[in-house]
Amino acid sequence: MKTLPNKIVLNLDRDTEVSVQGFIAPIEHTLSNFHVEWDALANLRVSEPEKQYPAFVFQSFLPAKPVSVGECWQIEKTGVMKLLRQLNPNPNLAMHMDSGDSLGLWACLRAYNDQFADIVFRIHAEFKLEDGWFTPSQFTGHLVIDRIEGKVAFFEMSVPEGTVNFDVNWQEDKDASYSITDAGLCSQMELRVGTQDFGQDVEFIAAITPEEAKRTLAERFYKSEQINWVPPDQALALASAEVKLIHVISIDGPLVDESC
Amino acid sequence: MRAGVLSDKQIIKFLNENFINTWVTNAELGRTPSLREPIAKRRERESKTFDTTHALTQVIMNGWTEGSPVDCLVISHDFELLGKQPLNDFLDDTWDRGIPEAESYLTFLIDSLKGKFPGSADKTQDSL
Repeated sequence: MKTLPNKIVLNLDRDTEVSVQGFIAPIEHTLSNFHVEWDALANLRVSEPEKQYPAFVFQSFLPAKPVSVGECWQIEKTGVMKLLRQLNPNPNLAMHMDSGDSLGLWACLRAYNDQFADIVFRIHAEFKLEDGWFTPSQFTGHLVIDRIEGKVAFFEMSVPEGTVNFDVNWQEDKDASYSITDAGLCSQMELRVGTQDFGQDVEFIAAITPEEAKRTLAERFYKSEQINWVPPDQALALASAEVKLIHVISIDGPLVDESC
Repeated sequence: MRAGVLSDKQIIKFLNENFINTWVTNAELGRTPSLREPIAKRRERESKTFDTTHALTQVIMNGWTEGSPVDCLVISHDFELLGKQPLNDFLDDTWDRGIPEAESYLTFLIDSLKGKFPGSADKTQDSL
C-alpha cells in the first residue's frame, strides 16, 4: 500500500498466537462498604488468569488506513469483547448509564520507529454482575506491535489507579425498580502481554508524549476536556500571574472518567 | 455536570477566557473517610503530598455544602470565596424555574466575577 511519508500501515501476522494474563485484585475500598455487603462485588475475580488468543483479536485495535502520530481511530468492538470476557464473562460496551458522552473505544498512534509502533487507547466498558453493574472509570493502555515480525510486542489494558476508579449499581432488592450506588478503588484490573519494563530503551523517530496522547483520547469522549483544566497545585500561581479568579469543582468522583 | 453545563460551548469559552479552572476529588481533601487509607498509601508510594492545610484547599473545604456530592466554587487569588453553587441545589433550582442549565451557570459565573457572592449566604461548612 502506498502511504504518505508520515503515515504508516499497522498490521499483525494473523497466524501467531498471543498469551494474555488477566488480573483482578480483591476490592478493599468502597465509599459505602458495598465490597463487604454485596457478594458479587466481594467475590469479583478474573474469569481466566491466562488465555491464548489468535493475533487477529488484536487487529481490532489497529486502524484500517495508514495513520500518522497523534491520529485517532475507533477500535472494533469484536476483539475488545473477547478480551474483556477474560476478566468477566458479561462485558458491556453500550454502558447502561450513558451521560451522553460515555460511549466509545478510541486508539491513537503515539509513536513509531522502523521496528515498533506504540498505540495507546481508551475504552469505556462495564460488567453486568448477577444483581447489578460494575463500571470501571475506563480501560486504558497500550499495544506495541513489532512491525517487522507482525507480532504483539507488548499489550496492557487496565483500569488506572485513582482516588476512585469504579462505580457500582446494586439491585439489592430484586423486586425494586431502583438500584443503590457506590464507588470505590480496585488496585488492579488488567490484561497484559509481556513485561512492564518493555520499551524503556526504544527510541522512536516520531512521537507525542503519553500525556498528549492521553489528552487527545479524553477529548474524543468529553467536550468538557476543551476547558483548560490545570492541577489544583498550579491554579493559584496561574491565577496570580494572569489576574484571574479560580473556578473550582470539588467532586465525589473524577471529572474525567466513568467512575463519577 | 460533565456532560451538561461543562460541555456547553458558551460555558467552555467563558471559563477559558475568564478563569483558571481546576477540579479536585472530595476524597483527596479527606472528605471521604473510607478512602483516606488507600489515598495515603498511594501518596506514600508515589512520593507525592497534598497539602490540605494550604490556604486554597482550606477555602475549598470551607465552601462545601453539607451532603453535596459536587460543589462549584469561585475563589480569588487571595483566597476569598466569591461564589459557591452546590450541584444538586443548582439542578433543582434550574428545574423549578425552567431555566436552561447553561444559562443559569453562566449567571453564577458572571455574578461571581461581579463580586455578588452568589450562594455565599448559607449552609457553608466543613463536613469533616
